[in-house]
Amino acid sequence: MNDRRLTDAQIASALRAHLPAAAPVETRRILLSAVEVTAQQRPLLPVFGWLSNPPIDRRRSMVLLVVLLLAALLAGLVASGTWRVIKPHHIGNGWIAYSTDRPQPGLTDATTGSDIYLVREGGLPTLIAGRDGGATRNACPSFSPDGTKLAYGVGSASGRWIVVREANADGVNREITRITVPGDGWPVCVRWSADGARLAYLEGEAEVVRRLDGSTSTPSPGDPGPAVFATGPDVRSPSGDRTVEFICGELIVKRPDGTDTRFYFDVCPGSFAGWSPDGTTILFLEDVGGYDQEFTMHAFDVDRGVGSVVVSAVKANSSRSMPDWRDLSWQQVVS
Amino acid sequence: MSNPPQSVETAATTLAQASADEGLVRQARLGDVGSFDILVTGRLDRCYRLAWSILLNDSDAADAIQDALLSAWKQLPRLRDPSAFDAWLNRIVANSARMARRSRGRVREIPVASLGLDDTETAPHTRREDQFAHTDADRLAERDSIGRAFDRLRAEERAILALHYVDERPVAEIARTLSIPTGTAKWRLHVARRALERAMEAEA
Repeated sequence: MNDRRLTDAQIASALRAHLPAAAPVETRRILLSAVEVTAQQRPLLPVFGWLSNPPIDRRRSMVLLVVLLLAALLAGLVASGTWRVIKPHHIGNGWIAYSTDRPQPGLTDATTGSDIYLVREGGLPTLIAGRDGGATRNACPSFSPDGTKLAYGVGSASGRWIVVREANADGVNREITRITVPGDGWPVCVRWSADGARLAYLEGEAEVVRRLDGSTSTPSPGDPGPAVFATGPDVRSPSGDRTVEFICGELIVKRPDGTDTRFYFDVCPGSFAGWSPDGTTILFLEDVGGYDQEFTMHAFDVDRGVGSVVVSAVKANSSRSMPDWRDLSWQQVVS
Repeated sequence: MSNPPQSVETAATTLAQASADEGLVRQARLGDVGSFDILVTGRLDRCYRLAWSILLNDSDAADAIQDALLSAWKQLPRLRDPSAFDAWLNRIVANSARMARRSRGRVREIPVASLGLDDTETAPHTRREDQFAHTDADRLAERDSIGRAFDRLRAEERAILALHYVDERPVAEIARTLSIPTGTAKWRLHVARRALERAMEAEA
């Protein structure tokens, strides 16, 4: 078998010849006429995001809408004498840790660095590991299964480490241990063993298992398997009995027997899912406005079909400060 | 895998175009159908190519774009930064194509021409022993071979290659289109390229 290498020009030329340069004339005509029809179909009130993040030019109409709604509500009260408030779902308030970047050896701009933040329902993100002016990358936060420790990878020009810190109901505190990882620059992505005694990460394609004293161990039952590190559209629940995939406006919960449940949202791109430790609730992030400027974190109970906003419209101001969609870790609630 | 450098004139034209587009996006956001029509008309072929690269099928690509346009119109008021329109629209098209692909199941449609039925034409070229003699026929055969290898890739890999090599979209914009961090987009582009090369090896 040849070790075939293609140049950029070869690929570009071949794909330009292979892919359609334009939509067929008839298709184009149909699509453009569909634009007219499409344009008549914008709903008066896009369900949920519009209310939470109204564009500036619609604020006046929103005020009017609120006045009308209040008037209608008052009329309803007078007519019926009772009314019901639907309470938002409370997610339990374990801490959620996220990184602002994901290490991709040799491919991400090494000068930006990355941070780790903690946040929980009703609060604002708190920085717990900073990028040191761009010299340090902090990535892949991972709470231990019992929620008492948080591990993450640190990388800089002077070396690489796995940092393990104490966690409790108040947040993340002192450093418990710092395990040196060979090499420099790019932090490793760690995951916990089921008993919380070991940490695993990938070095190339090989899995490395380290005990908390820094010694190396051979992979054994209970250690994270390769599937834990797999990147793909599906995210497995902690017990592995179902996966979730988030695509534009649609959340799909899949079961091993091939069946699935679908939920529809008025939240589109820039979203991704992470499971709660008890496997009932998923987190997803909404890139508000679609341009890495601010985000909202949602929680959704897939068994009960109810959701809540964990934190709303947090300013990020650039992609460097946006959470990495794939790198959320949710703490088991601890007393 | 860098983008070709732009001349000053090209850059100025691009800026002027971007400014005009931002005005159109603002108008369309307020419900101006004509502005939406202008925005979409200029991008239709590119969107079609992106959907086609994921679905490998004319009618599915057209259906996906129709859904994407409806979705784009509905969600346009939520787009806060008009300059992000291109990446935003691409993202909706890519998502719509992914959904179309998912809804039609795991069946993979491979055009007849890609099944090797034309081996009699291509075999003499692929079997050439003189690696340094690149005739037009060689180049055509190679292009054909890359095309067939492309069809064998995963949809996500095809999409990222089409966006980068055919539409010459910047990696940061590709990242937004595919809802992934920039670093991940670079990595996926690298992986897709390697997958294309491996698929070509398998063809040989």
